[in-house]
Amino acid sequence: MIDRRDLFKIVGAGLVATGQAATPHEHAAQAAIDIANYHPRFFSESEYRAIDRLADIILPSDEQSPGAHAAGVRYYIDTVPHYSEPATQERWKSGLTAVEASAHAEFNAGFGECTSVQQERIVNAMARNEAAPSTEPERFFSLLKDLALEAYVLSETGMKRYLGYRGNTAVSEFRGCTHPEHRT
Amino acid sequence: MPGQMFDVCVVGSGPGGGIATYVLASAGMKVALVESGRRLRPGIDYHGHGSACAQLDQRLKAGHRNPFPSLGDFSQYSGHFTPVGDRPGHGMPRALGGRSLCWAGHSLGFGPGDFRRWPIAYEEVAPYYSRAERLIGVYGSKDGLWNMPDGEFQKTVPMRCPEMLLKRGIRSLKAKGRAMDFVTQRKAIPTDPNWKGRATCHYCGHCMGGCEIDSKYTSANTPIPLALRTGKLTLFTESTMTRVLMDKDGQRARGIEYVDSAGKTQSIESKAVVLARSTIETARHLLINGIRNSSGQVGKNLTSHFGTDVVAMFPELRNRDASNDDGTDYFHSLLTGLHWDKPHRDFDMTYQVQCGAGLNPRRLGIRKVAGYGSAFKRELRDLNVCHATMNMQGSLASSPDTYVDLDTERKDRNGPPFPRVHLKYGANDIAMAKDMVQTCLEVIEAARGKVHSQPGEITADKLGIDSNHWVGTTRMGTDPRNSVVNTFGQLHDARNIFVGDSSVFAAYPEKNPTLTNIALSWRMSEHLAQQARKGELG
Repeated sequence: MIDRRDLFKIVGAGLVATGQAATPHEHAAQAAIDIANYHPRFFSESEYRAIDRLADIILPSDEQSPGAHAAGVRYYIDTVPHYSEPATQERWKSGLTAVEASAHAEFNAGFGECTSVQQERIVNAMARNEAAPSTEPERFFSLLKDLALEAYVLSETGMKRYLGYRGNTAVSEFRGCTHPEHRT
Repeated sequence: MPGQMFDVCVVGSGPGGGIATYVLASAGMKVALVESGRRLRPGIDYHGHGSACAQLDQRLKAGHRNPFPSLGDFSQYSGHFTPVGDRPGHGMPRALGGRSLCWAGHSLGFGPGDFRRWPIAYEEVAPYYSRAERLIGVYGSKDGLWNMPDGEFQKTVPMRCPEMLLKRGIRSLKAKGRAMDFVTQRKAIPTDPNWKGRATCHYCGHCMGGCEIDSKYTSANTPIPLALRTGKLTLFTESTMTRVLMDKDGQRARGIEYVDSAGKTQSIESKAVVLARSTIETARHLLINGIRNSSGQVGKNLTSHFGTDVVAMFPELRNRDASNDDGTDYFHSLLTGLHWDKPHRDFDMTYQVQCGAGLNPRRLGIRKVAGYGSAFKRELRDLNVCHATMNMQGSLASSPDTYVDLDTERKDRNGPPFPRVHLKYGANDIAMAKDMVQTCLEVIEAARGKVHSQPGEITADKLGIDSNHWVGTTRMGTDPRNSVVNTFGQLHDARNIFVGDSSVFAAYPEKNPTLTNIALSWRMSEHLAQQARKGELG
């Protein structure tokens, strides 16, 4: 038999009609990840450097904002496959293997040894058939881009400096559109 | 163990079950509420604060994909039912409050035109809409629309710039004689201070993933606590009903059997049972129990909302301040009033279009731009600032190929078979979808915008079903030969079993189901209490 008074304590406490509205609460700041000193758990060190470089070509630093490297997206991209299913992990490993193979075929060097311009040409080839990828590097491009973008726009740099987002916060009023020219 | 005796046992604590609990307990009845999930703590079990990066490791380690703790953690989307046909979904929240937790709060009453297809008139339901709105706290604007009447509204929440530009297009089409309206969305989110002790909305935008200050209405934050205060309610959380216990002749429920959190089978005895487990689960349990189904309609007449998206882009908005458009989550506006007065020649029923805008980095849908590099970054940012999404929601035509039955091959861990959900789009749905897309494209053109994305040629595989909007599997009616419950939600075949969820809907307009579910459950509960007082439930 469940005691109703016990349930009151769990369920009824402070829920309703207390006469005062709840106030916006605050959370303790979470410890930031020390990305500069982070060692990859899923990728090897050289794969991790390749991931960092590939992401930074997709989302470069430019006059708009700092890019993927500055935003530290490599930590996010290492952590997601670390906890993924084996099939997803395999897609990451075989994707990077295909990138290495392209680098050797085209420039007779590993991706890490290629010049920046050569690395950009490799990404350019990977991105050629984004809508209907048919080769391994082309399929890998979407996987990489989607996760790099997720990591980037959810990072402080991507959110604030790139997108200019200042939401996810308590405000007393929502004003919406205030432009007379949008009303005609 | 001997069962415990109650006046009523309510099964399911979602929008329908939560209200039934409150109305029945307030009428002095001794109520048991059975819910398979546990009580969640807003702001702890789900919240949108903090850094995605800082929380990622801990969240992934716990088996979640979303870096932020959200209500999605407590919902099951697959593995608990068998989908057949055109990709039906069935979202199943397991927590006190059920589907009233993970909803957007959209509270649109059906109108007099909609009730023409029902065995009850708008006037019979209207007072319950008002009571529901006063309890749950709905914001909206007075729009004067005949088939979506104004309610008891709190201060409205305005549209953002891209939505205002869509309105420009609609204004222009209306001037040319098109029947349509563009209004602010109506939501069960208090914007007036001190609403039933709930916090006033602070516009952080996390309504759907879970309101961490518990401002948005849920069964868990308003009717269940009110019912507890009557002293008449006993809650059974983490308790999953396995069957309705019927008496020997199978015409009367004597309670329910459930499995408790320790995995032990228990029972509750009651003079009446209210089933409010959802359209899919209520039909499943009526079928499992072999409760008489003399009409043969249990599980039939299943319908939901379906649709697709068109995204508009307004280059003129490139320099606007879009830094905080969060508000009350994505959809702040609604295109409605389409084909209300004069049906379309190619299809029956109609649709509405929920419109949203805003630069929120958590919205995955608005990350779809081809390419990479600086040009890609610029285009993606512009799209986020300048876009408006038009999400179409049409009434799925009922069909003999869309229904719920039992999957006798697959059983859940407590023994009962899983439900099978069958879905098949038909000619009416395809014709409606074509008109939806066409209307959206015309609106964007009239608004002097560009189309960023649209589905193109409409085929069934381009349409998506709303997994949370199913209705109809125990439809109401006056004739026991073709309906499952009477006009008060009482089973024709077992007079002390009542249905409190939206499976009782007799027909489905384009409008969201929850407010009507709440109003009908309220009306059902008053009827139940009245019959109990007269001794008619035995």
